[in-house]
Amino acid sequence: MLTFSLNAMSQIDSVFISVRDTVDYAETGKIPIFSLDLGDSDNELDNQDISGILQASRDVFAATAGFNFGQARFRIRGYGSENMFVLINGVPVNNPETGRAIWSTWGGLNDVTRFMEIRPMLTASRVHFGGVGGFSHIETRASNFFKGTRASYGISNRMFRHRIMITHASGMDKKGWAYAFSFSRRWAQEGYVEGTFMDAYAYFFSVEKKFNDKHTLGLTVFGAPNIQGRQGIAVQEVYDLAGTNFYNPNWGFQNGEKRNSRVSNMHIPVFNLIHYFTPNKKTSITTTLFTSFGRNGITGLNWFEARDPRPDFFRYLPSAFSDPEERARVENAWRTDVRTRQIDWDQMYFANSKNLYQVNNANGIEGNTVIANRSKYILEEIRNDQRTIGGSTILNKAVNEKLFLSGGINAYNYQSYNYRKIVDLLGGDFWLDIDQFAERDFEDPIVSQNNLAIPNRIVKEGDRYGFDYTNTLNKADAFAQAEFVLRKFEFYVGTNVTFTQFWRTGNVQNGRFPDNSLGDSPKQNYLNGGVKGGAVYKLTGRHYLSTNTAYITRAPFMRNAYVSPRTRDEIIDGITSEEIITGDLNYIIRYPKFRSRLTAYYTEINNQSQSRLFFHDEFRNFVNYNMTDINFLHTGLELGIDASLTSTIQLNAVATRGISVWNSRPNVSIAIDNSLELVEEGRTAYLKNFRIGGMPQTAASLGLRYNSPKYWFVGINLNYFADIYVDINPDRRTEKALEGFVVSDPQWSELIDQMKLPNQYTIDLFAGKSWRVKRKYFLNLNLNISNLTNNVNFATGGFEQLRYNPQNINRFPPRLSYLYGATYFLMLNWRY
Amino acid sequence: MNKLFAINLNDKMKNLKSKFAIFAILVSILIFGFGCIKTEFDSPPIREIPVGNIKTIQDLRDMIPQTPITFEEDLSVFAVVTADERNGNLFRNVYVQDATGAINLRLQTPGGLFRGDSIRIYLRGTVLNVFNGMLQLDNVNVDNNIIKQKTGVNILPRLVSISEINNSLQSQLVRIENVEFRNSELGNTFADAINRVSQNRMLADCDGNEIIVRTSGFADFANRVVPNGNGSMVAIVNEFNGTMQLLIRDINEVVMNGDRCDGGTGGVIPVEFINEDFSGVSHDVNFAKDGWVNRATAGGRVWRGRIFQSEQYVQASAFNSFDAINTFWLITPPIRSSGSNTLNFKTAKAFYNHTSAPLTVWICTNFDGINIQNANWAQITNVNIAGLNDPDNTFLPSGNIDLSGYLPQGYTDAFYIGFRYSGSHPTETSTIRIDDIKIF
Repeated sequence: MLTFSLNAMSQIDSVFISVRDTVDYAETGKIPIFSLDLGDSDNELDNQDISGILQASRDVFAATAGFNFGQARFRIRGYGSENMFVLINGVPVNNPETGRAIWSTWGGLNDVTRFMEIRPMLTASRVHFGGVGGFSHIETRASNFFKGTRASYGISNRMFRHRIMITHASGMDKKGWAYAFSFSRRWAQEGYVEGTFMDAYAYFFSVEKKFNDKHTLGLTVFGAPNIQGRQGIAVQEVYDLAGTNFYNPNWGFQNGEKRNSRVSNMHIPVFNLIHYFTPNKKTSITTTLFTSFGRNGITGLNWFEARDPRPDFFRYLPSAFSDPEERARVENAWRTDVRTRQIDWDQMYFANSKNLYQVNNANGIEGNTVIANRSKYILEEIRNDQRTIGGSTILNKAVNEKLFLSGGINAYNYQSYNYRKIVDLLGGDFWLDIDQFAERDFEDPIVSQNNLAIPNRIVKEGDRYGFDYTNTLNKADAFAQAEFVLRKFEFYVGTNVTFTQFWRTGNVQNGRFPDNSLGDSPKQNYLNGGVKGGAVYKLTGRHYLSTNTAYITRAPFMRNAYVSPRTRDEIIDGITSEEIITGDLNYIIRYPKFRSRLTAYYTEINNQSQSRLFFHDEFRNFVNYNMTDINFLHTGLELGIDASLTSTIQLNAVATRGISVWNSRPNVSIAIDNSLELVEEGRTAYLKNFRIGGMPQTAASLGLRYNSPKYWFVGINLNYFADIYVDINPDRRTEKALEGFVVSDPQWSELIDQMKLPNQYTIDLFAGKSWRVKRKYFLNLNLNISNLTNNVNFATGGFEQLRYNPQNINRFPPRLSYLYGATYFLMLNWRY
Repeated sequence: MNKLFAINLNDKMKNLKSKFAIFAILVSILIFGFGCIKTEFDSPPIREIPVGNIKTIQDLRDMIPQTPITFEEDLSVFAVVTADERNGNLFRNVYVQDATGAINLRLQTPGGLFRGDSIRIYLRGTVLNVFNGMLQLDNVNVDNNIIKQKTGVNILPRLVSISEINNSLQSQLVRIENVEFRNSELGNTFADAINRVSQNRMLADCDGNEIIVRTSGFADFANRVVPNGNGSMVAIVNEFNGTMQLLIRDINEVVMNGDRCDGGTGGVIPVEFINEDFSGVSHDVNFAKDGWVNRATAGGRVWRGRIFQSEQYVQASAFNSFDAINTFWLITPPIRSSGSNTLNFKTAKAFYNHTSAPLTVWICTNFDGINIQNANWAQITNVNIAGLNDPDNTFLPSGNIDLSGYLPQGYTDAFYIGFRYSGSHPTETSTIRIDDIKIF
């Protein structure tokens, strides 16, 4: 946005700004995990902490919106995080497969990420072309950290109960050495939501050696080992039965102790070696070599020839029973019996302990018979481990007072290792590596084998099974930019070129797809590019008009490109590069005591593809639901005001009204997941003008803050949210779904209408006090209270289930997630 | 790093000492912290299911419930599973039998019980009732009511004739011999696999006694054409409101390939030409089509339908069959000879591992529709078939093959073409595909 142009020539350093310290946004912004049916757990892995950086912006609107609206899952201009690049030392760290920024990779390193350069919308950028949602840049140069030591302890009732953080920076010594390090731990035996827990560490170490005025070398290592018991979201019927909108179906008692079935476990350390080269005062060249590698996984239950162990499976709910007596009995069990309401681990151990089973020709050895207890229920971990290696070089050059040039290249090689692993046999002796749906559908037992090299494979704890494939992605990107400053005008132009190549490598040959499950798939290659430009017209020294515009194409994300990468190599038919067209118009006022921005924006993101896996009642089977030609439109207005009413009282107000909608009628094809049989082609989903769900599209905030000259402050924010919609199921808006109904039938509108969630408000309070001890130590005490009125009925989003019954839409109602009630974070900070 | 610290330590030794002391304390709190998060769990103790009084299945049958009886005390029945849900003919129910009788178990959720499982049924919580004339033990929770004792126990079917089948045999495993499907059923499939609808087929003996064979549309053999010969069948006796019927538990136990009661073979009328593009096949389902014979003479494999992208064809493979020998045939319906017939088809291969060609093509005039080995087959030579040196998965045309030389001069009766696949796991394996068979 405007930040760039106002500061374009002079103040590149001033965009390193301090974040309010009272809230650990990375945690409060944590989104409850969507727990869909089979096949959606992939998305869950990446759904964590996708945001959390916008609050650090200096822009009037973006700072408040990021900070106060994040809790309600607001997204600036409705963009997903794949539209914002997160850069560390000039290297993009968005997940290459999904494009999303994964905050947990460095969660807990608040003292490091505090010094972040943020451009929250498309702007000029000197380190990367950026995305339509801008970029944020974390530099880990040791000498950039404030010299000194900080230690803090915080308590909270949110995701974690306790947080300890220690950070130390040496500053540059006479011999050209500087170092900085930071450690933190956040933990909770049980978080705000019942059955959740957290045990998260973080470490950071950076060392820098200045050799001379031209050459400096830096080395940075950081990582955040992070284990969490997750929250799942449910349908309203379940929340009502459980008596709380924070009901969590993921946990249950084992031997009298609470055990969570969905535990995420991530640790992907990052290593950067950086060469800072300044051949002269007007030129800098920064070169980074980087690698990161580690594990990422989430556990879940799996079962075979047994009842679904998830307590909120739709058949177990009172609404599934037509007999009133039976319904009353089930309802009573839900209200009174924790074994009904939650997972019954003891029962799974019990069932596994006596399920004697005979496997003939076990492990592919003829005549090898195994008779033992076959686990009916197991705990598995779905892994998405990864490894990246690459480098980047960025050149910045001030040619003269009127022209500044930037350019750079970066390239990397990324691999992810995707497989299932058995974590716990829950008292049984073994698990058989076959596909239960294939076993049901096909006569030949070979078809159901997950690994044809070892038919009837016996698997145990620690073994990989089910699927096992490697995704490889190579990317090279180059950008160039010129910024001009004239007396009345400032403007910039930029361009980039990106080459993307990806392919799948199957590590096992399965019986459903012996011809295309094993080995390297054909390589998919995409060449893309973008152009952008913007201008500022200075009406007076205090009033500005500005505009930005861009046309960008980008390769489809690998995660969206394959129909069913777990079983086979098959690209979605008709997949193409995505296209982004964007523009905004801004009016900015800047007085010392009054700052304001008014913006109108318009963005199209076109030609997306998606593939979803779910149980389709029409075909009575799991299907791959592939959509192409998906277009989205984001347009709206933003207003931000920051005013100093007196020398001690500050007011800020922001408001936005956005419209983020589906903007096309996607083309649908449907294939049965276990075969290549295409059961439907050319189906049209009538999605135009449906709202993008899961976020408020209208939001406003009014804040007041009192800063006492005696080193304390207190503030209040009133936030308002509206136009919150539930994410739609495309198939409900097709001719086929409506077949047999006329417009006057109740099913017609039940199927088509999009659920709008109620408008809501929240109040947040914050306060702090600082002391100076012995003239050299500083103590700060900060308190933050969110959702002061304990509004526990604030549905922040949800989604329509993909499985549906056209006759009775309430059979599979939407799943909803709720904002936490009143929560606090209290922190004592010691600084030397 | 050491050097780095050394420099700093020299500079401000004293200051740093206290600083590091504080760090050491804080870091150790962090790492060994007071807040250990428990993520390991003990296995819970496994509860014992009491045996209580032991009942026989006959004891249950003698109860003859007028209204459903819910068992509320500790009682157990020992029995063996005779029919399970694996082939899809049963869903959410199995049949069990002991020395005294048999009964149908209705399960709360499908799965978990298999033929040959010797089990103890703990009756508490189950319900004994009569449904459409069948006595059944309902509301069985496999996790809570079943304790497996042993696997692989084989109960021999009881040999009966159609006329002997009455409700005293309810749920029992029986074998009947010298039976055939009625003429009017020939050419029908066991059930409607497309719409998944159950259907009845009438089975008869040579004395004219008849009984229904009922098959679920979800059974994996539902799309097979009923055999047209005479022979034997193993089945479960079922009753539907006074009408007795049979349920097939395993299609391999239906062996009906002898001469029919009237001495015929069930007779299929010869066709004038063949143009088979296999557009009706389902992926990975054994090929079955009226008039065609798809049968093994050794091993358990037969020709199977395949769909790859838009291509539909049949495929043969011996890979992982665990059969010493796999020999199976795809035989056309009878074709009326015009005196100058031509054969044309195409083949493709993959995973080719053979010492001799796996696919051979044969012709005969005296196939009875059942006994492949009894017919006089002549091998058709000079056929272009995909072999070792051809590219994988690429269809190769056979060329036009003149059949007149294989048939007697002036022959105008029916002939058959047979495609024979021979393999053996693991030494003789491949996948061989056939498509677009044309005879004109």
